[in-house]
Amino acid sequence: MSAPVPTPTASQETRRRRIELLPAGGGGRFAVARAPYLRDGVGVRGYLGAFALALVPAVLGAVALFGLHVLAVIALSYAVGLLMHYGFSRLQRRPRPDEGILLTAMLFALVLPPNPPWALVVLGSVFAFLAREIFGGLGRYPFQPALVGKALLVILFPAAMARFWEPLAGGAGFAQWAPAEPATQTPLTAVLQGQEVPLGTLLGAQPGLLGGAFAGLLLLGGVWLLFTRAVDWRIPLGMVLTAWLGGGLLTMLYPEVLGPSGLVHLLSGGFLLAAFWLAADPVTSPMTPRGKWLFAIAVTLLIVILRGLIPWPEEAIVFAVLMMNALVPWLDRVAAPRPFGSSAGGQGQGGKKG
Amino acid sequence: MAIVGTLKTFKGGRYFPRLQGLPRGPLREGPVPPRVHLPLRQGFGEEPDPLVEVGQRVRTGEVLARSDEKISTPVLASLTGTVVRVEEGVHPLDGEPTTVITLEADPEPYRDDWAPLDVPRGNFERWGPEELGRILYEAGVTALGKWGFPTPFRTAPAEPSAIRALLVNAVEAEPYLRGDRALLFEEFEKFVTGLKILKSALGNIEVHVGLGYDLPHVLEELEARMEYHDWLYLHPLLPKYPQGEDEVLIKTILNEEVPAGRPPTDLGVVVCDVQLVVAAYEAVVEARPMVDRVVSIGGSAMAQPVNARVRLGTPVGDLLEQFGNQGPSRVIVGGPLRGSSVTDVDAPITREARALVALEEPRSPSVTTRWGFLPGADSHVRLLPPFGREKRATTALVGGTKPCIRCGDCVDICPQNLFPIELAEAGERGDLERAEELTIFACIECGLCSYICPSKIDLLEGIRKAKRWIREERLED
Repeated sequence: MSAPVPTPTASQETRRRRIELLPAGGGGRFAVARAPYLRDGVGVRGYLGAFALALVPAVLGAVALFGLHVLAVIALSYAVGLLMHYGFSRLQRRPRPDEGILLTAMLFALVLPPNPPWALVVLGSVFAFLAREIFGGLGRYPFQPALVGKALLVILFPAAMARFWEPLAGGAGFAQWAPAEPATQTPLTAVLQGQEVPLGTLLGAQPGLLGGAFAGLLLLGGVWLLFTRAVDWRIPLGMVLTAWLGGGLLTMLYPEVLGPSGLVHLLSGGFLLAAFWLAADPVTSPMTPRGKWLFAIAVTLLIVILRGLIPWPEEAIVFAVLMMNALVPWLDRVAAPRPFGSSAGGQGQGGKKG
Repeated sequence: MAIVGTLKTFKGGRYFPRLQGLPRGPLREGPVPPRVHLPLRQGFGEEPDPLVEVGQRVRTGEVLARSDEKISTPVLASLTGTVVRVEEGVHPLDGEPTTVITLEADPEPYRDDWAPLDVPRGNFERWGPEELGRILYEAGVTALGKWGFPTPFRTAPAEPSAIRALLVNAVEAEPYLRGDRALLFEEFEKFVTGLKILKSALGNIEVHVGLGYDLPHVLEELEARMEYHDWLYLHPLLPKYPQGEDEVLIKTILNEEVPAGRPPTDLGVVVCDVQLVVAAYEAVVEARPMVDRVVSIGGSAMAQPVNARVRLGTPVGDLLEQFGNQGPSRVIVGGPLRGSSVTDVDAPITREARALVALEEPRSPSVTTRWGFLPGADSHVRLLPPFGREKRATTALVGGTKPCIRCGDCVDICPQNLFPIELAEAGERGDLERAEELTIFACIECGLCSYICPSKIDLLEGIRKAKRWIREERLED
């Protein structure tokens, strides 16, 4: 780049041949023109892959609880999702498939009741992927798509969405939640009506959402996510603490409406699924640290309150998360970090050397 | 003299403990190259006027260009030889035009014929700031540092009298930068005396030394040696990038914020590095002008990564050849996060070139960093391989850019507490008002947002673009 040398000596000629410098723009996959020339090795694939991978224990738990058809539900959800995704990426001329469908299809299957009618799985999946793809796919959707699919199903087919089958048929000591017929009463509804605290929730001895029944395995996946740091710790931790403490406070004030304790809210009704996956989905949650805290607290309190108010307490996570998703852009605006050096006002913004 | 508090650090940033081809071992003496190219413009300053003509013989350290009335520092001959060219060229780091003087070394057997500095006799402490400032200016030392070192000769944006504190950046946190560390180990005596010289040159000021806490011996030794100097404060710092940046260092040590886009001298603070302190000693005590600097030469494409004293103006090709460059490589002057890629083997080492990094690509783009449990260490995802001990950073955009997944990692890692993705998107939309509202000029261009982004979006490039547009708009007004 410096002044050219008119008459290179012989040694310089050989040097030129031996030392080869790559151009700044690079070729092929390497398109780094200016600093920084270093990139972290983890990409979107690693991130979202970890999110989906952390759900595997919960899926295995669901298979153990409800039977092998769970795998068929998940497979159907993926099949519809892939079809929709490829269709839309062709229509919108997006360059390549995105990795987000790994997560969306899985999450949609897990928020369904344990034995959903096939037609509704297909229909809900179509809704979910519509809510994802019309906005442009990965990174662009404003509402958690799996929950949009679920919410539409709940509104259109409330009865079919409230058929919760019994777990581990006739599990000793938990027979009260294991009716012979498909249960419509989950521990959450039972508890809210003043029954005992189900300690068995950790082990999945309860009916509930397909992926939300086995709280212990969800917790296992969640802890692994926290360890890998694929999930930002603020939202899950903020939600768990708020459910425990804030939920505890609310249930103390209104025990007849909101049930006996915050711990119940934490361990049942798919709350952990919301805390580590649905609410914590980076795309539909705030980016700023303070925004994340506010979001976590608001979602949790909304879940606890909605459970006492709506006819389907099991679906409180769905509507609470969707409602807060709508507020995310506003949260990011009000909770934007204050840059260092900004207190000097307009006076300091002369700019560096032009 | 006091060690202030315990380990200090700052918000965000990232720790890069181990990388392939890290420079190590004792300080090496670089070659005296057959020819050197010396660009006249340096750092933020203006270009001094050339005083030599083609064909003229120069001695090592002789003044080639000097303008006392401009904000500039003299350019000195870095070897003994002949001026072969004085012509318009481009600066190797920013690609902007500047005058370049080319010298050709005397034929073998080469011997340096020094042009020593004009230095009075006796103890420097009695010379006064005026005289010390002149020596530092004539030695070319004042061009070091992002904003220069203030003297009565207009070498920085502020007068020396406006300065109340000098911060010495002795914590090297940027990947591959190891030269200051080598200098501290080998030239410790010069460093200690150099601190006293700089303190005398600026008058009645405080001196704060920010030292990496991974150098406990240096810390203890310095504490013992400077026990009775109440103007000196030692701060052990976590060597987390970009701790060494002026703005971050001031925030960490003094807990003051540099106004966005202004030099630290606005706060009455000057930041310098170990190289400047040692060069000040050599100028004042040894009457030796600054004709070389320590450069960390490393990277995965270097067979012998070393720290070497290199003559200013040495073409990078000479250094790559001497220290075993292998295969085609991306060559960066400066660290890989802030430096400039060079594509010409004749691009010279300048006074601000702290490192020369050659990275192999695309054959093996990985640079490993090890994760640990230090505060702030490796604040990112532990995925690849799932339970391994090493994770990768790459020089490549693996798989290309993806849409932003709004993870907020760029917000977490930003040492200036900015909102990088929002800034870059505002720039992309051309919404310059929003960018200014978010204090875009507080960005110190450390590059960590682009580094961390899982979607591999070049956030920094977007921010730079927006900054440039805003400046252009202001010029039009």
